Amino acid sequence: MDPAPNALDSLRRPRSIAIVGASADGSKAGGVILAGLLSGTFPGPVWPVNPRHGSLLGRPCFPSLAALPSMPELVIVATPAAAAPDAVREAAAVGARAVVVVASGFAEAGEEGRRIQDGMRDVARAAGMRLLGPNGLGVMDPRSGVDSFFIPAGRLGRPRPGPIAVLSQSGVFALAAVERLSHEGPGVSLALSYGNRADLGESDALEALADDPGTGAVALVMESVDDGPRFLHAAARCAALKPVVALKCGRGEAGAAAVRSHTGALAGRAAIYGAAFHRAGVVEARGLDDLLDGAKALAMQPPAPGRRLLVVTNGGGFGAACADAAAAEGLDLPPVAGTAATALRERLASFASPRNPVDVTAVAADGDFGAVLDAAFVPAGSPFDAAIVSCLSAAPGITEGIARRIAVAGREAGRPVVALHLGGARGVAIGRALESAGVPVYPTPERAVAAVRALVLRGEAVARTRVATRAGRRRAARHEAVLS
Amino acid sequence: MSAARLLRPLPASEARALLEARGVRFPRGEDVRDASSVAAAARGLRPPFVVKLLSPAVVHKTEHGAVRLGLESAEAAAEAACAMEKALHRNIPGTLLDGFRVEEQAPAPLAELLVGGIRDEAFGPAVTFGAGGVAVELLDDARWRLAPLVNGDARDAVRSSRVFPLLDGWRGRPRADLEALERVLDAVARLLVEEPRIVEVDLNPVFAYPDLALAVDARVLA
Repeated sequence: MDPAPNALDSLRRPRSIAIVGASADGSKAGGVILAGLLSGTFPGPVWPVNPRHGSLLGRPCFPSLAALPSMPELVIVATPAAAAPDAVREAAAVGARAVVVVASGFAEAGEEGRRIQDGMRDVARAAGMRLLGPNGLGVMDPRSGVDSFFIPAGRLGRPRPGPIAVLSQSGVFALAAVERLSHEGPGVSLALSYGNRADLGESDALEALADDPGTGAVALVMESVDDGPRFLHAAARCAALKPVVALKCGRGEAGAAAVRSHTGALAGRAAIYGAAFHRAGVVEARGLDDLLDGAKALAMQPPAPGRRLLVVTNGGGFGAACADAAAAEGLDLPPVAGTAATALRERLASFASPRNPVDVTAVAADGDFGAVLDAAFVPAGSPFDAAIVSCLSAAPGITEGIARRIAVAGREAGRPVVALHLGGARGVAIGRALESAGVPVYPTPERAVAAVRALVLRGEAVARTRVATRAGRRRAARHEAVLS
Repeated sequence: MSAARLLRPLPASEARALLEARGVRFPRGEDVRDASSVAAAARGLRPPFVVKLLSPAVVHKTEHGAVRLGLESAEAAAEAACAMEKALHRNIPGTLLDGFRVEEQAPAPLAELLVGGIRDEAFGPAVTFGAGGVAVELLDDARWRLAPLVNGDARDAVRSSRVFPLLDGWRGRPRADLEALERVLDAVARLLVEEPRIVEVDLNPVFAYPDLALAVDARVLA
């Protein structure tokens, strides 16, 4: 059954796409977008529109939107700012359902630009057409092949389809996220770079993504918020259904001042965003690594039910570094005790005391990691809420088989596992195997621990929502009792 | 974007009344109109005394020398009041003097906290809890929660603060009354929610004790 139509449908899965300001010139936005769509996987018609050309890249090129063979559901306006308002007006006139404007030079440039931007918004709204941008990269949906990001494939990776949605007010953050998630992680359901947010913004996207079965986690980058109460409601609704991790840019005075001029909107106080995220059950990221590492972990692993961490390592120094980072993040490392400790003492010559981190030493093989997890992490009575497996894969006993071992242990435990992984050329293959098996991989102890922190915060947010829902139900029941 | 409004601090007595009505405790004290009334006020209280100069010109009292601590007698309190009044007229000539507050000095606490709140343009009222005292801006420990508080917000804000170990039995010292601190945070939240004219509340320091939390200084802006 198809989900109910939402604000993003015509952006993500249009039946047809027109590009106003299309070009054969690969140095122009219109050229990159056209070439990208034609060589990509989008199954529907792609119509270039430019009165200066009769054909482009072997396709007929149309002089105007009105000249198209049928109504374009999505119009991508790739012209400079001056020509954009007319294009938006034309798109509305031909009945397009959504329009993306990538040009800059609107509200972020000054009052005149703000006026023109508001004009485009009004035209779109009067026609019931959604407007994305201006001053953003627009929309990228790896599954449907829609892509208005005007950076060629040679300069910007394209992620494969997967569960992570990226929503960003900042263009450069959208690019950074897309680029990184094209090399690591489980893939992307949607990347939305909404720029000046003349119409569509984070609240619209969060509302739509809450019900999107293809999205398992949302990563959000905000510089400002348009409507605080609406954002709280949309974020809370989305976070009730799937993990949401957010980064507020412009934390300090200097950053905030830069943000004020960037999109022409008031940034608001950064610390209050932390309060808003907390209320909405959104995990707050502290920087780009935190955001993307957290999104990866949240998309690939279950939330952690508490703060107790098990670290298993074949390199003592990394174990110690994880312990240090964990202490700084308020995570605990209780010792391995009881039957688990006994089992480990029997299995591992190196396991002399119930220390955590558990050091399996550099001669350890895949099976040794598995044995530690099976004894200490998998059982229902395990005192650990999350585990970091730190495996230097240059060690002789480590093979790609370790990926399945770790993933299975995590699934059997029903609690999250992340990998801290370092290795050379062979390491790349093992890292890929780990992520293919569903275990997120991080290159440093600090980032592995920060990823666990995201899983812990998600667990706490889920627990708070559960308490709130129960309290709400109790209040409702008491109200019922009074009425009857 | 709303036009900038001129913010003014409420008189200390009004600020105190709004907070006391919501359960915040302050040191025992009395407001007097002039320095000559300070000694009599002190005799109704237990030493040591604190004398604060009340003037709309003076917002951060320690910066202006407008608070004197450790005054062991009513006479010392009166002398301190006179000295502060002279200094005020010297440093900020022509300024208004509302009077003085004479208080019982609060004993050394387990910790000094900051409890405050603002009305944010985007998200509405929000409150904060963290390490306080004069170094508050350097310590940067504020945890913010949206008001009205729900769901263990106050408890969580107190326990996640960096200063929490000091409140939890640090090096053999007793534990602080955490519920009392949570009630102060809740009181600030309710004040912001219930009084839309109020834009900022600043209780710094709040002194934490094993059985009590005391707001030693309060600023409310409207």
